[in-house]
Amino acid sequence: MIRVVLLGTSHLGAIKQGWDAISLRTEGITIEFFGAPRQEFFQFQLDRDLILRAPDRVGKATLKILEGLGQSTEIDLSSADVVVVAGYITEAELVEQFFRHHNVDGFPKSGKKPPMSRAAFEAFLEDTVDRAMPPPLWHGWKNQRLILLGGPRRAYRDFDGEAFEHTKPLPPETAPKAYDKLATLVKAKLEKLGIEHLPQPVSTIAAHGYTHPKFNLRSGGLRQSIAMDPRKTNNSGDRRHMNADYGVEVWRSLLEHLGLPAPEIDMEPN
Amino acid sequence: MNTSSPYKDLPERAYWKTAVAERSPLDPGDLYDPKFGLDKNARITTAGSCFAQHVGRALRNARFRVMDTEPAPKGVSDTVAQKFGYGMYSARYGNIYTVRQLNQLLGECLGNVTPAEPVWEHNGRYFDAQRPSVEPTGFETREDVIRHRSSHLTHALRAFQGCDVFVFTFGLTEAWVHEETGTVYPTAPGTMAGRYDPARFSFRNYKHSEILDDFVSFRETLKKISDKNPKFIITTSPVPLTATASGAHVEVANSHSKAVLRAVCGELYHEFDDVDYFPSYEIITSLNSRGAYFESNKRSVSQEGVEKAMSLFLKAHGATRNMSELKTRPVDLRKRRRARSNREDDIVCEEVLLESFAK
Repeated sequence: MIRVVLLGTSHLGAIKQGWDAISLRTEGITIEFFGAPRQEFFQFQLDRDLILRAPDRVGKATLKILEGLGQSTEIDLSSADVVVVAGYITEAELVEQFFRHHNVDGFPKSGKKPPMSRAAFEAFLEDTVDRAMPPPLWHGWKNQRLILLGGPRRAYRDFDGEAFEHTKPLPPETAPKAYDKLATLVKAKLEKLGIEHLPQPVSTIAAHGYTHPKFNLRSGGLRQSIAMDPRKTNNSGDRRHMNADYGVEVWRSLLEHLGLPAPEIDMEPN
Repeated sequence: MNTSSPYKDLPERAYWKTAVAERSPLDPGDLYDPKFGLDKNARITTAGSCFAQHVGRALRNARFRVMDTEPAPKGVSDTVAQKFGYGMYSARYGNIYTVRQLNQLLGECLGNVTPAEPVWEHNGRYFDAQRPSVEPTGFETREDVIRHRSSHLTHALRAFQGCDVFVFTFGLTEAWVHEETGTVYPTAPGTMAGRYDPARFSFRNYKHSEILDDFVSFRETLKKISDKNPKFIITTSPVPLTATASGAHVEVANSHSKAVLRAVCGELYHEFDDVDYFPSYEIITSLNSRGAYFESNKRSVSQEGVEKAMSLFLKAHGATRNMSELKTRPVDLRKRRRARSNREDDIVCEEVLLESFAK
C-alpha cells in the first residue's frame, strides 16, 4: 500500500473531486488531502521533521476546509511515500504578466504596446520562476517523492467572448508557445531542487493553448469540493478552477507517473 | 569708530569650527535647507549619472510619486529589472552622464535631433548607442534597436512632459562625441559596443559655460513643452571618475570635473528660483566623514553614505527621519524574495567598465 498526501490551494478541489470519482476503482493507494485557500496555504510552515502546520491564527474557512478533509491543523509528511502539491505554481499568472503590457520580441504582436526584448523576457521569466520555487525545506527529500502539479491554465470556450476580454489572457497565437516555454523552465528548475514536476495533462488542453472549457463546467474551489453543494459551485466567470473531470485526468496522469494502474473512466461527452 | 565685523553673530553653520570641526564624525549636520518643499503628490522625474539611481530609489521608497513611464512587468525583482534599465529612472534612458546628453535626448524626443550612428555593433549583436546598458546582450538586428528606441522616446517624452519636479544628478564633464555632428554618447565607442575610430569620434571635456548653457537650454525647453511649470532639484555626483581621457592624472581630472559641475550647479541655484541644489557631493566627500562613506576602492559610495545623504534629503522634505524606516517589511517568504534591494551592486554604472581597460 502506498500512502499519498495531496497538498494544495483551491486547485486541490478538482483533484479531490476527481479522486472521489475514481477512488472506489483504485487499489493499492491511500490518500490524504490537506489544503487551504491560496493566501493561507502559503503561510503553512514546514519543519525539519516534515510536519506541515497551519499558522496559529488560521481563518475559520480554512479550519472548516481542513475539518472537511478529515484533518487537524497539521499533517505529518515524513511517513508519506509520495507528496503531491496542487496549485503551488500557477503558471498562467507567471507568464501572462509579461504580455499584458508589452509585445515580446519573437511572439506575435497584439495591440499597441511597448516592445520587450527577448533577452529581457527570458531573464524576467527565469527570475519569476526562481522566486516561485518552494523554499529549501522542500528540496531534495530522500524518503519521499515530492511532485508539483502544473496548471491548470485558464479555461475558455472561444476567444471572442466577454470573459476573454475581461481577463485579458495571452492571445491564442501566443499562449501555447509561452506556456510550453514556461512549463519547460519550471520542470528544469524543480528537477534541480530534487522535486518532480507533472505538467497539466495534455488531454485537458484545447488547441488554443488553454484548458478545454468542458473541464471548467460546474467547477469550484476547495471549499466547494468538500461541501459538494452545487449551489455553491462557481461557474460564472471563474476560468481558473476546474471540475471533477479535470481531476480525473490529473489522476490518470499521476497514477501513470507513479507506475500505478489507472482505472477505466468514461468521460462525459462534450 | 565702530568696527563690528559682518562675520559677527552669524549662525553656527556659518563657521567651519562649529559646523564642521566640532561636528560629530558621520553626522551630516544641516547641510541642506530646501529652497522649496517637495509635495508628496508632485510627479517626479529622475535622471542623471549612476548616483542618481540612489536618489530615485530613496524617493520611491519614501512613497514619493516618482514617475515610471516604462515599468517592468509586475513581479519581476528590482535587481533583474534594472539589468535591463527598468526602474532605474523615470524612463529606460539609462545613465545620463552629461547635460549635453540630457539636452540631446529631449531634442530627440521632440524630433529636433537625430543622433549620428545610433546603432553600435558588438560580436554580431546590435546596441542602442545612446543607452547600451539597457539591453546588455544587445539585439538581433539593427531594426530591433530602432524599433525599441522609437517606443522608448515616446515614453521618455512623457517622463519629461509629465513631471512637476525634475531631479538631475550631474555626473561627468568628459564625453565622447561624433566628430562630424557633435552627437554625444554615454559611453566611449569600443567600451560596451561599437568601434573606436579616431577619425569619427573625439574626446570632449565640456567647459563650465557649455554645461551651464546646456542646462539653461534644457530648462527652457522643458518649461515650454510642459504645462506643469516644473521645478528642478540638481545634485553633483560624489562618485569620482573611473578613468579620464583628458591626459591629466585621474585625481586631478576628477577634481577639475567635480569643480566645474559643482560651479554650474551653484550658478543655476543662484540664478533660478525654481532650481534647488541638494549637496550630496558635500555630504559624501565631507572632511567630517574622513572618507568613511566610500568603499575600499575609494570610489563607490557605501550604503551607509547613501543612507546618510538621502536621509538628510528626505528629512528636509518632511518624509521620514531615517532611511532604515523605509525598508520593506517582509510578510511571507514569497514577498521576502521580492523585497527591494538597496545594495551598491544593484547600481548600474557602465562607467565602471573603463576599469577593465587599465593595464
